[in-house]
Amino acid sequence: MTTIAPPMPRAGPVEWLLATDHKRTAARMATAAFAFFIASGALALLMRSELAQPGLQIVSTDTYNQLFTMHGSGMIYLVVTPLALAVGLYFVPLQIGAADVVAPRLTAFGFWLYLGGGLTMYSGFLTSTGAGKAGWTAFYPLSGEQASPGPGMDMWIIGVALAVAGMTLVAATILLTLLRQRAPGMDLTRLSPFSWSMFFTTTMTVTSFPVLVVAMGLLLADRNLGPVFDTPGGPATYQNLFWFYGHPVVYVMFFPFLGVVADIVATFSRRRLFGYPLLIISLFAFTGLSMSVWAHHMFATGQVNNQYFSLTSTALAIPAGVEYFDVIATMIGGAILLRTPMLFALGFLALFLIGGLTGIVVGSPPIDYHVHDSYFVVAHFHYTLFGGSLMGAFAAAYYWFPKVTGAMLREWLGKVQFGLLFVGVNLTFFPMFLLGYDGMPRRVADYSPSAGFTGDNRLATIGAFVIALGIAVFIANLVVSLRSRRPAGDDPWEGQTLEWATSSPPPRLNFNGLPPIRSYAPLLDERERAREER
Amino acid sequence: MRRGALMFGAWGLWVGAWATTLAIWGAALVPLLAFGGAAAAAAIAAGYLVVTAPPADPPRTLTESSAAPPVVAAGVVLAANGLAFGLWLVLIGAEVLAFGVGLAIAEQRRVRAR
Amino acid sequence: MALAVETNSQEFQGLFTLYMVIGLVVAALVLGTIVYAVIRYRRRDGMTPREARGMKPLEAAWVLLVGAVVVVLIVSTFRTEDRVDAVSADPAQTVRVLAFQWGWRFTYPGAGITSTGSSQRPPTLVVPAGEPVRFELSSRDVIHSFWIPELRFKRDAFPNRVTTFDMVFDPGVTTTARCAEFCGLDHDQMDFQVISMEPADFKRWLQSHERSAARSRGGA
Repeated sequence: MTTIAPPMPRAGPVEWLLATDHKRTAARMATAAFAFFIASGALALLMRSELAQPGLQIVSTDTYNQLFTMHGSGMIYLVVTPLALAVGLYFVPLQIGAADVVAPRLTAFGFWLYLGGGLTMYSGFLTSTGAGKAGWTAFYPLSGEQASPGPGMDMWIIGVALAVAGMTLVAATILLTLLRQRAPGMDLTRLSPFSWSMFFTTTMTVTSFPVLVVAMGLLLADRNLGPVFDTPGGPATYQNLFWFYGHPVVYVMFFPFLGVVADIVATFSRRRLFGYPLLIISLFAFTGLSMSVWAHHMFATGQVNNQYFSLTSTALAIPAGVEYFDVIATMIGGAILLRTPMLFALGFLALFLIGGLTGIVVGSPPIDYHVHDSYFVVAHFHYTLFGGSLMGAFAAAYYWFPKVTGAMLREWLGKVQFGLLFVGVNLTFFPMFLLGYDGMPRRVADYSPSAGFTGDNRLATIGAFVIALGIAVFIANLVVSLRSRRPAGDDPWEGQTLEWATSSPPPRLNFNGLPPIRSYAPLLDERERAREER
Repeated sequence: MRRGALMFGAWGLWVGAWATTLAIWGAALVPLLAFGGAAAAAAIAAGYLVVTAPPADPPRTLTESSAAPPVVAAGVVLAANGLAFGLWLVLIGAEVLAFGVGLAIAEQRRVRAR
Repeated sequence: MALAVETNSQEFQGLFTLYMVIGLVVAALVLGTIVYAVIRYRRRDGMTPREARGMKPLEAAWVLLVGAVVVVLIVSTFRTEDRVDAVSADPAQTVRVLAFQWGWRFTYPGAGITSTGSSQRPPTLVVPAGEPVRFELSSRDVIHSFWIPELRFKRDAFPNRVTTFDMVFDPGVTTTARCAEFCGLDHDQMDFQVISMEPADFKRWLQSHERSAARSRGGA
C-alpha cells in the first residue's frame, strides 16, 4: 500500500471535535473516559471517607446510595470499557497496516452516543430525587417505579442504554476493520497479540452488549408503560438478561489490556512472544467460554443451574493459565528492561493473579453462598479491574503515549506513580477480603461499631488516598511531559509491531510505506535481518 | 477477509456448543434465547461475510471531518431523554436527528460526486 | 454434642480451605516465577535474548496440571453443594421468613409464633442446633438476602416466590445476621439476631412462646 500521506495537522478545537480520523475519535474517547474516571474516582474517595469510621459523618444514606451507584456505573459503562475500546480504535488500524477504520463516521457517532449517555446518567444528580441509586446493576424490583421513583433513575437507564449502544458500534467497526482492512501480507496468523485480543474483545461486545440495551428498554417500559418484569419469575429474568452482558463486559474491560501487556512484555524482553499459536487458541476459548458463565452472579438466588455455571466459571482457569504461561515464558531467556510500561505490565500480572484466583474461589457456589454480596467480592473485582485492567491501561499509556503525542512521559514520575498505585491497590482492597469474610455486606453507607469492621475500613480508606496520590502524579506527568516535550521519535522502545514503523504521531493515513510483513513481529524481523546482513 | 470471518463464525459455534450444553442441562427460556441468539448472530453474520466475500479494502474516499455524527447523536440523546421528560423533548430530539441525517446525506452526495 | 450432619459452616470450611491452599500454592508458584524471571533475565550489557526454546512439554504439563486442579475443584464443589443444597424429608423445624423494607418477620407455623423486627428492634431467630431447619423465604417488596455470616450461608429473598432451603446450625450460636442484597434506603439497618439451642432447650422455648402467644393473640 503506497498512499502518499500528508503529516497530521495541529487541530483547532472545532477540528478536534469533528475529525473523523480513527485516531482523533479514539483520542476523544480516551479523554472523555479519563474525565469520567476522575469524576467516578472522586465519588469513591467520598465513599471511602464516609466508611473510615462507623457513623454517618459526611453524607446521608440516600446520597451514599447514589455515590456507589454512580461510582460503579461510571467506572464500568463510562471509563474502563470505553478506554479499552479506544485503545483498540487507535492502535488496531496501525497494527494491521490500515489507513483508517471501516466506517469512521459511524465510529464517531458511537463515541458521541457514549458521551451523551454518560452525561445523561450524571445529570441525574441534578434532579429532585437524585441520580440512579439502585446499584450499577439496577436489579428489579428495586429499580422499578415504586421503589425508585423519579426522573434520575429513568435518566440512568436511558444513559446506560445510549452509552452501551455507542460502545457496541465502536466495537463493530473495529471488528470489521480487522476483517477487511488488513494490509497485504497481514494474515490472521501475523496479527499481534494485542490485535488478536481486540478481535475477540469485539466479538464478545457485539454479541452481548445489545442484550443490555434490550434489558434497559424493557426496564424503562416496565417503569413507564406497563408490567414487564412484574411476575414471580421477572426479577430473575432481569438478572439473567443483565448478567448476560454483565459478565462478558468484564472481559471486554480486561482482554485489550492483557493484549497490550503481552506486546509490552515481548518488546521489553527483546523477544518474540512465546507460544503464539496456543495463546490465540486460549484467547478464542476463553472469550467464547466467558459468554457462558454469567449466572455465577446468581448462585444465591436458587433460580439458576448452579452446577453448569460453576463448571464453566472454574474451567476459565485453563485458558487463563495458558496466557500466564506464555507471557512469563517470554520473559525467561529474554533481556528484560524495567522501564515504566514493563513495571505496569508486571504489576498487572501480579495483581490480576490475585483477582483471578479469588474469582475461581467465588465461582464455587457453596463458598459464594457466604461471600456473595459482601466485601470479599468487592475486593475480588477491584483486584481484577484496578489491579488488572487499570494497571494494564497505565502500561498502555506509558507505552503508547510517545506514539500518540510524539513526546515521552517522564520515567521517574512513572516509577513513582507505579509504586503508589501498587501499594495503594493492595492497601485499599486486600483488607476488603477480610471484611467480607467477617460479614460486612456491600452497598452499605454505615456499619455498627461493635461489628469489628472499623480497623480494616480505616486501612482501605488510607489506601484509597494513596491511589488518589498516584493518579495525581500521573496527571502531573501528563502536564509536564506535554509542556516540556522530549521528542520520542518513531520507535523509542525498539518495538516489534507496525505502529512503530511510522511517525509519532502517525500521519492522517497512518503510513508512508510498510515494511515487509512475515510474522507477528515484523519490526523485530527487520532488525534481525539487518543484523544478519552486517 | 474470509479467514477472519471464518474465525468469527467458529467462535460463534464454540459459544453455541456451550449454549446447547446449557439447554440440555436445564435453564430458563429467556436466558437460553439470549445465549443461543448471541451464538447464532455471530455464526450467521460470519457466514454471510464468508459467502458474499465482499472485496477487502475496496477503494473509498475518507472524510476529514464531519458534523453529522455529533448532530445525529445529539438528536438521539435528546429524544431518548424525552422518554423521561416528555413528548416535547422527543420532538426536539427528532428535529435535531432529522437535521443531522440531512447533513449526513448531503455529505455522502458530496463524497460520491468527487 | 455429636452432630449427625455437618453444619453449614463446617461444609463451607472444608471447601474453602481446599480452595485457599490450592490458590496460595498457585499464587506462590506464579509470582515466584515472575520474580525469578525479572531478576535472572534483567538486561545487562552484552546480553542477547535466547531464541525461543522448547518449553512446549512444560507448557503441556502446565495445562494438564491446571486441568487436573479444575477437575478436583469442580468435584469437591459439586459434592459439597449437593449436601448444602439438600432438602431433608423431615426437618426438625420449619421457619417462614419474610423480608421487607426494612426488617424481617419470622413465623413458626404450627406453633403460632411470629416475631417481627425493625431497624430499631432487630428480631431474634431461634433455632435448634445439629438438625435440619427448613426455611421458607420470601420478600414483601424488593429482593433482599438472608445472610448469617457465622453460618457461612445466604439465600436471596424474592417477591411473589417462596425459596425453600435447609440449614444445619452449630450449637451455641449467638450472632448478628443481616440483609446482603441492596434493597434501598435502610439496607444497612436490617440486622437480626440468631440463637441456636440444644434441641431439648429449643422444644421448651417453643412451648413457652406458644403459651405466651396464645395468651396475647394479635402479634403481627
